[in-house]
Amino acid sequence: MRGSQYRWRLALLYFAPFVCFFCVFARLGYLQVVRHEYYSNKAAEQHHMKIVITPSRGKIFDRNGHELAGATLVQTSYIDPTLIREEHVPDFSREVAKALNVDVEAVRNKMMGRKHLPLLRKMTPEQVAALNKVRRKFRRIVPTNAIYYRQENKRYYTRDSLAAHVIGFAGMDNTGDNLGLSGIERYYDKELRGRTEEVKARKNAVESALEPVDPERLAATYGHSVVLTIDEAIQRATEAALARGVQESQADAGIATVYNVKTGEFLAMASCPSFDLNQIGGSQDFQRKNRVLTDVIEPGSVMKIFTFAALFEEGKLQATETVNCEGGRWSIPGRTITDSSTRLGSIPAHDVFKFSSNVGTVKLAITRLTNQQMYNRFALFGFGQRTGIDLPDEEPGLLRPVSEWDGLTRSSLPMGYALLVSGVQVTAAAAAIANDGIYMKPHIVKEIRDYRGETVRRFEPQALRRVCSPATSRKMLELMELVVTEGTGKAAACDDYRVGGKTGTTKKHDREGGGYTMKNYIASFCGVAPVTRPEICIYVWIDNPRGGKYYGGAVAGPVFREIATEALKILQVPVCPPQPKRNAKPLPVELANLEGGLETRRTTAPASLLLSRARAEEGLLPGTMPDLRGLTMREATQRLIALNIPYHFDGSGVVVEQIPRPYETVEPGDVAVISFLPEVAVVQSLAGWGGGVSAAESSGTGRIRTPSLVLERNNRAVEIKATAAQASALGSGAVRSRPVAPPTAEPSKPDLDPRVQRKPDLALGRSVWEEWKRESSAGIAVSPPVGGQAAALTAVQEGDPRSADPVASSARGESAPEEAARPAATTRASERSTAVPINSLYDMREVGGL
Amino acid sequence: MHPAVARILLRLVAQPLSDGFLPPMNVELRSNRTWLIFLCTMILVTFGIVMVYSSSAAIAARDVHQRETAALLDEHDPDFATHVSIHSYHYLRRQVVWAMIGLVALALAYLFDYDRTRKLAVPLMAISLLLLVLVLIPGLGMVRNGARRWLGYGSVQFQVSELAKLAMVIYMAKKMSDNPARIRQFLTGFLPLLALLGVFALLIVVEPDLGAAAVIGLIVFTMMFAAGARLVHLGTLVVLGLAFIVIAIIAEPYRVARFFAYLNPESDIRGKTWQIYQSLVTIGSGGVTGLGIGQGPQKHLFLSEAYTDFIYAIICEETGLIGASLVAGLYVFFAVQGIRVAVAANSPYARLLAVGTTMMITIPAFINMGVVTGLLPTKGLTLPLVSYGGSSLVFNMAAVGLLMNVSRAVEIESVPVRRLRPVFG
Repeated sequence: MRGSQYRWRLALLYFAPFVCFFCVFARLGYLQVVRHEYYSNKAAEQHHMKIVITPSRGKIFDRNGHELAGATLVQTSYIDPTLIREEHVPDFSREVAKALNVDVEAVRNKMMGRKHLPLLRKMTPEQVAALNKVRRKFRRIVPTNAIYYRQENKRYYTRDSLAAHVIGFAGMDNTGDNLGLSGIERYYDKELRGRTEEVKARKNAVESALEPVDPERLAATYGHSVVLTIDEAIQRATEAALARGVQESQADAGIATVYNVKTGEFLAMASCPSFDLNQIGGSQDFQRKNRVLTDVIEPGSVMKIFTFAALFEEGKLQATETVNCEGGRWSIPGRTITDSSTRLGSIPAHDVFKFSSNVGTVKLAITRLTNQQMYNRFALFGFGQRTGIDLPDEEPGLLRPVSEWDGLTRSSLPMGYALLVSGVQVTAAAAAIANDGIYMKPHIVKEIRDYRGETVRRFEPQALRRVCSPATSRKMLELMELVVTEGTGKAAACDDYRVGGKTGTTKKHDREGGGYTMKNYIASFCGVAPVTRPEICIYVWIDNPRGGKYYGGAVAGPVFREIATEALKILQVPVCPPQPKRNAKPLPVELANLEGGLETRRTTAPASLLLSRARAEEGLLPGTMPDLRGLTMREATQRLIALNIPYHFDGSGVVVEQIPRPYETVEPGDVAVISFLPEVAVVQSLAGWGGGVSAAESSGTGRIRTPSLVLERNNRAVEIKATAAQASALGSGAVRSRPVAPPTAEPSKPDLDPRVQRKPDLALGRSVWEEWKRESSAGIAVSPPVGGQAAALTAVQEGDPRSADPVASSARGESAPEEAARPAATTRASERSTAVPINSLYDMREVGGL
Repeated sequence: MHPAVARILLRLVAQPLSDGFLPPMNVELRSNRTWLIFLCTMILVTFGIVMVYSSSAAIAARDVHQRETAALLDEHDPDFATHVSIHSYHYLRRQVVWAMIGLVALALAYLFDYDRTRKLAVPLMAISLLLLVLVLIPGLGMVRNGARRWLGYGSVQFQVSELAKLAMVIYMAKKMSDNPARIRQFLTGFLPLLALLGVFALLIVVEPDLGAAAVIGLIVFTMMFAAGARLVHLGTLVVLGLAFIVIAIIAEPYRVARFFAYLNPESDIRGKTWQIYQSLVTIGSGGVTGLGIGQGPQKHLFLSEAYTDFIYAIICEETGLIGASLVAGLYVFFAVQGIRVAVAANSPYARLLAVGTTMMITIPAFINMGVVTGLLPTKGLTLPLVSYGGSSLVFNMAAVGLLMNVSRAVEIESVPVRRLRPVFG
């Protein structure tokens, strides 16, 4: 073989790879075995990063789930100056500043510094895009992560100033707007803010994580949502009424609360002046104060509610006994007590309350209550201590213990001086009286929910203590109603509801002079509605009214009236207008008519008593009187036997009056007195009030029908037909009815007002409407027309009164005034109030043509 | 299946191709060098494909993400406009395609009678020279990472130095075997070859691709050594070569930096020694058993050029000392088989061709391993048959084909039982 002399060279080459392999293997052994630990640690150091997950702040909802406060996550850009070389700073900073439209100098300084600093907070998507473009443009000379992003919360308030004091606002921390500074935002900050999580994630060399964050851990960061007890619609109505009241009286400030007496929930809490939550910078401290909690005042005459309750509770007062009011001026050692303007002599105790006599009240209190009794009673009502409502900055007020009283305290307390109370305290205490004497814990948060909407914590109504007996509660409600119907609070009377309350006119303490000025007042009103079956308690005060009027009744009364009317309608409380007088014995129809016409502004016929309310059946508490009105004798008997109530019947026909009244407590041993009237008489009485009837009759148009009366009974329309003879007996009092107008195309237009957009209700309303349509048309079809003077009458209860009520439609032509006078809000409320088939009273009144 | 049936089936399939293309059935496998070389090559190529995917997927996916983001934010940004669709399989797919082409090249190089390549030597040399000049012309040569090494259009590119390497091996083998004794003459034998090598090396250094130039130099040096060149000449050449390397390093600042990075890999972790430091971390964290293929975190942009120059580091990381040694062992095995072919070869041309092609695979392989493990200063060199790179894979597989061709010829002579003829002989 040629070249074999160089075989040794090939042999050498043969071994060369082995030598190389040995070198490589030795090196690998050194790196991978000897130094494995070292390099593993080095690798682990650079392979992981901490991801800080910004928690998303929880939302705030009203009780119906309307979002009041929300948060979005927005980008905030940061500069890492260590990654930017000095020579690139001028160009880079100029471009960045141009893209973001910010100051070049500031950007440059941040790039020259040593710390990571925010470049621009809460950026819009457009700004992010513009900045990214610059980052990309410079990516060859400036690493893209020299500018990086972090998510931050941006808080927004959907309703601007609505419930601003309750919601409060959030300030900036390192996760954006996530630091509650006032209101709910502060009190429930821990729940709302969520948790900042640090997650260890694998990353690559350019600081981006290689895997997404575990959804479970991400979910754990979300803040909880808070559901308020506030009802957005009521809050809006309350704020509007308060603002109007404050403005009209040119006052400095005011508060108004709406409180559910049964549950201790605030349905509305308003302070005036207010502010826009989305522009906190534009408001000042005096606007941001939640005065319901922070402003403690001397309550003035409103305190008499509690003084009288104390007197009743101690058994020291009969409502009927007489008190000498000394002509409005009574001197006792150390001072002279005066009444406002009325000179009162010896009057019954309830008139002392009704007319808010200081002399009478103080005389009763100081002659019949010891200091300790007075203190204990007031303390029991919660004065002088925080109620524990879940809002920050609650003031405890001031109620001195007996040992610290001076000579005047004893005579000042009964009329609401020498103590300081907050709006929450008065509201909760007055509500306790309305709630059969049970003091509920006031609260403003209903639920805490997690981000999925599942309830985490629920705040159930919590009964704290009994502050007075149910008997006292009833007596006080009667007294409070008297104030509105006959006393100082007439301006607070509502058209559609029976309400009660107490006025207060506090002379403001003069800070400089010491003593009380005669110039500055706080006008207040604390009321309950409806008094028959209290649902809500409303407390209003207006500080320093200047418009000439300063009495509580005149200034705060109308505000109360407005709030109460709106709130009750929003709550779908059945309309129940004030009655003429509470009589022990039912009056004959004519007499009732007469009395009603004479005595009250807007009376209702006894016929209205015919209409039973379906809701009487649901949730009727044991020992409570059912609503029997409109029932036949047999039905009433069945009902009363079922409830084991002894009874005494009077008359025959259908129930027109009952003692005890509906929903009143039946004490053991009570005998129910039930009065009946024949159906025809009822129809007659209805006809008797037909203001528009004669006109309709004389016009001679329309078909005559058998009088029939469709009564709402047990959730069912029952048609009562009068015989022809009975119909003719009605004589000239008969009502001529128009043929029932076919249901119009738009029976219930959804109102644009957001507060009535409650979908389930509208849907329900429609179905009820359909049902009515079927029934009413059937009812009309079977009624044969009869000649003569007899007129038909169809009273319909449900659905839209506008098109459902034939008389109302007839009134459109002939007697328009009533139609025009119908308040729009009432119509709206009845459209919605479908769960409770009612508005019977209202409609009957329409039939009566009042 | 019965072995006899299997054998018949295999025969039926194999017959149309060639008797010689598949290992002769009557020769025991362990003694069949050609088959072993082929097996070793295919193991390396296949394993290379797996590792290319493992090391490139993250980078490719990130490119996709970047492009998509760019498109989302601003589709008119020309920097990001691209006609290449990229996804995490991007490099895998291309490597598989190139491996197929490489297999065809291997088959072609194997099927022709190796002796006929003598006639190809000069034209190949001329073409290589032409292309080496062309690639330097701006506009024709494509620039990547600051080096003008590629010719081509769009996504199909071709690294000229790889062709030059193969051409040089064939040409040198031819020249040295034409008159085997002439190499011992300095002026007539040694110097012309050296001059030619110098021209080529210079053209490649200018690209710049110092690594490729050095590899070509070393291959030719080894061939000269095997061909019987005088040790004095070769010794002088070593001294000159070292001097040249030193000058070349000093001439370019980045080479100086690389050199110092080599001396102290942890001196400037954030800057100049980033690459070699990351390579050491990658290897070191692998340990004996490795983290598992696909499991290494270092390819997530920590280790640059993870699927080309530094793929061996990823192999070390993911398969550990065991896998890395096996890969190195395969190259040793390949080299041993190649040199055995050379030893057994009966003609100088066959011997030198065997040495040249063997060195064409082995030398860059061990230089690459040395670089990656920090034994040698950083060079832009790929791991032959394993690293991503189309032209490199094709020409290296063609070289393997030539080696197998020679090996088969040698074996035919040593197996008298049956004479196997080349298909197109």
